[in-house]
Amino acid sequence: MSSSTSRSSTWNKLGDAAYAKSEKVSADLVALTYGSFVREIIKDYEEPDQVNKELEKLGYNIGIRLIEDFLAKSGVGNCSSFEESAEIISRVAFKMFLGIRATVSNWNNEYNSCSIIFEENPLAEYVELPPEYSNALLYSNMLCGVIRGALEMVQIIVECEFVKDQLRGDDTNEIRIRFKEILQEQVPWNDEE
Amino acid sequence: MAITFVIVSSKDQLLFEATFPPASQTDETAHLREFILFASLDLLEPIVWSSRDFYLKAIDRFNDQIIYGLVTASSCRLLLVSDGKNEEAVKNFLQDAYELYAKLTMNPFYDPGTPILSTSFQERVQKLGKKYFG
Repeated sequence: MSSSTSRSSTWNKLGDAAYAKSEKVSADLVALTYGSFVREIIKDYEEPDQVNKELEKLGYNIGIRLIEDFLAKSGVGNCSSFEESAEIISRVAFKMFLGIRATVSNWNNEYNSCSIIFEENPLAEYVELPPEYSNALLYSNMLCGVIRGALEMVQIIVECEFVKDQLRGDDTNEIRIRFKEILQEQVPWNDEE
Repeated sequence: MAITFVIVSSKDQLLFEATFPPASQTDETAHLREFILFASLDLLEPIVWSSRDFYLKAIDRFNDQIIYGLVTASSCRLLLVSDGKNEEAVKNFLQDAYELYAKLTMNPFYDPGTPILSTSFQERVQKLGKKYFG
């Protein structure tokens, strides 16, 4: 147990250091840009389910690029387990890119599914969902995509979904991550082209 | 008599209305207060140009009712009519309400210049009213 707490504090420090080093942009700018983005997608797709999917896809495309930046700048090494990956996402990656620290909890018995919980969501600052969306729209679904995309680039396949969202009246924000498999090294799919 | 607070857009559309204490069916003066609030809109323009602050103090009076106004940078008007016994509270109320309104316009799901339907905004304004006039 003591080794795991000392590792957590190392990760916290890595997160703080990466956050301190990285360039900052105004939180309002991010919140408003993301907000108008979501509005546009809603205008284009109308169906909240479809909008959620689009946001996830958007996040996925961010994630597969962001992982490189993350590994280069954060100084974390290889992860030995899925548990460690989850901790690093919440303690280092969340801090580095969103300026908040999340916690990992609610592990299931097989240790292949957990929740990332965070109180503050910089994307959703100022947002209040209109009643027609408050049950269906996952406003910050992009984050799920980012996590999925980033982990896929390091050969970990996961499924992510928002299970709690403060915008829907929940007490906190919770992203459920389910571990699927570890990708084996293989020939890139478009090698022949 | 009750206090009425309205938000009017730069294009003279009524966006929001609240009464402290909350309006009841039997309140017969509600129409009158609304009327004198809208009548005072015509007086606003010269006052806006002669003031450096958003808060314009008393802009009009009708018998014993005094109308206070605050005009934001985007010329959205926040007006309030009361019996004039609580000037300091009115000033603070309007400034706090302006802050709430500014926050509301940051919501990507609210289009500026459209009626304010958000229930949480309503609740917050009611809470403010209770704090200053309750």
